[in-house]
Amino acid sequence: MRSRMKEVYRAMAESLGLPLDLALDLPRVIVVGAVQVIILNHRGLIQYSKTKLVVGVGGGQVVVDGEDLEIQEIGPEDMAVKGVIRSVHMEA
Amino acid sequence: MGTAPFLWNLIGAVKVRVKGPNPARFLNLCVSSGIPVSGIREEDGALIFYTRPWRYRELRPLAFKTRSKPEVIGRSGLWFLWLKVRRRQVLVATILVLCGVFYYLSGSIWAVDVRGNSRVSRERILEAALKAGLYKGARKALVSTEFIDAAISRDIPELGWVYTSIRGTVAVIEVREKVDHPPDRPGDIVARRDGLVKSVLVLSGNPLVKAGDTVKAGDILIAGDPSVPSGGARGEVVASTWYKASVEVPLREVQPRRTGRRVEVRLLNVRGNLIPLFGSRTVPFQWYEVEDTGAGGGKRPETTISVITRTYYELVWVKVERSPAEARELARKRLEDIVRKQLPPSVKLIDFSIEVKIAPDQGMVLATGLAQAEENIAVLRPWP
Repeated sequence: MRSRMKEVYRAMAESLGLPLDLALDLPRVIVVGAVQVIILNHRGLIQYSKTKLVVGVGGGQVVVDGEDLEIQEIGPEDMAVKGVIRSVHMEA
Repeated sequence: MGTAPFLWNLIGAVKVRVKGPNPARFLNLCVSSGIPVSGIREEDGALIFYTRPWRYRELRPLAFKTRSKPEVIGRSGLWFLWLKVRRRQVLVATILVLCGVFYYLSGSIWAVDVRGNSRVSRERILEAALKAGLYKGARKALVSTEFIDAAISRDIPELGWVYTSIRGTVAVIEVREKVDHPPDRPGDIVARRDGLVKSVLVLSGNPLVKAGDTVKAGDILIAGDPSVPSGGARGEVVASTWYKASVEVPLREVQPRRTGRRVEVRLLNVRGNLIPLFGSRTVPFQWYEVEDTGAGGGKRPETTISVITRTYYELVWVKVERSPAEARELARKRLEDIVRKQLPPSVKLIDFSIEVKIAPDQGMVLATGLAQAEENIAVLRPWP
């Protein structure tokens, strides 16, 4: 039922041309080369080490793998991570 | 090692290390509590980050909740400087007052320099400047250099050009005096010096000489007509002229020569008064030469403060013996220098010959130089 509602929301947002991240409370992840990742609309840090960063987001987790990872800035909704970025992927 | 952003470091930041079972949760609590954190790194299982010094206390309850242990491992920024100096209020006040006094004083003019004057006295120019509002102690903001220029030009008509500039706390008045042209009185054109006339250009009057004539200094070259108003002679007479000089170079003489020994003293030049700073106050040599070097030394001693290095070179008197050939060469050089100095810049040098006589019985070489030049020898001699 809930997933069907999400589908309806998504269809409406797409038909109205609204940004999906705002309409569906999804994260927006910006990757700047292999040196920085900016995650907007996050829900908190789940795991952090030099090589792995797991951030809670709406609908799952964003996982950043790399080396010498450092959280440059962190705020209630956004976060900037720098270091040598190897991969960024989403886990449900 | 992570670094705090520049502004964090400037304003104030503490570097905190947190050890605990769940550092991520600690960070989430910080963020949800609104505590600013930056430059977060993980090192040896501990979390290291920067936060504001005045928010550090708020970390403790969060650390207690997450069973973490925070400790400060670094401090930087003006916040900590302020914490140190706020206990020394007199020092801070003194520094502020000094800065204020310095700022105030730098807004005034503390020296007025005059350049370029020769016939008009410095005092007269300074007095005119004083009347216009430029004096020692005047506020720079209240001084209009254009107004000063105009006022000095008006007060001293002998000045043709005035330019005042303010450099730091020194006002410099640069002036050019008007060139006195002789009044255009009528008269005759006469020869300034002896010569052989090469050409005559008459603008008015009657020429009394022609090309090829020999004239002596004072001879009338172009005569005016006194019976006619404005009947004065005008024109140019180009003639060959000769300049002669002679020198004697002894074959034996006693000359001063530097021994290589020298003594340096440093002097403080304060408005022309020399105050010894370092070095001996007495000269240890019987015979010596003096050389002054140093920034501004002697250029404008009345307005500058500078350090002058004065070097005393020891001299000895040595007998010099020259061969006739050496003496002849030296005589030639000296003669050339003398003749070239005699020639005015506008004169065209045509020929230069030197005659050298060696007089061994008198122990010297006699050299006579003769330079032939071409120049305008016409000069106006007004009628009485």
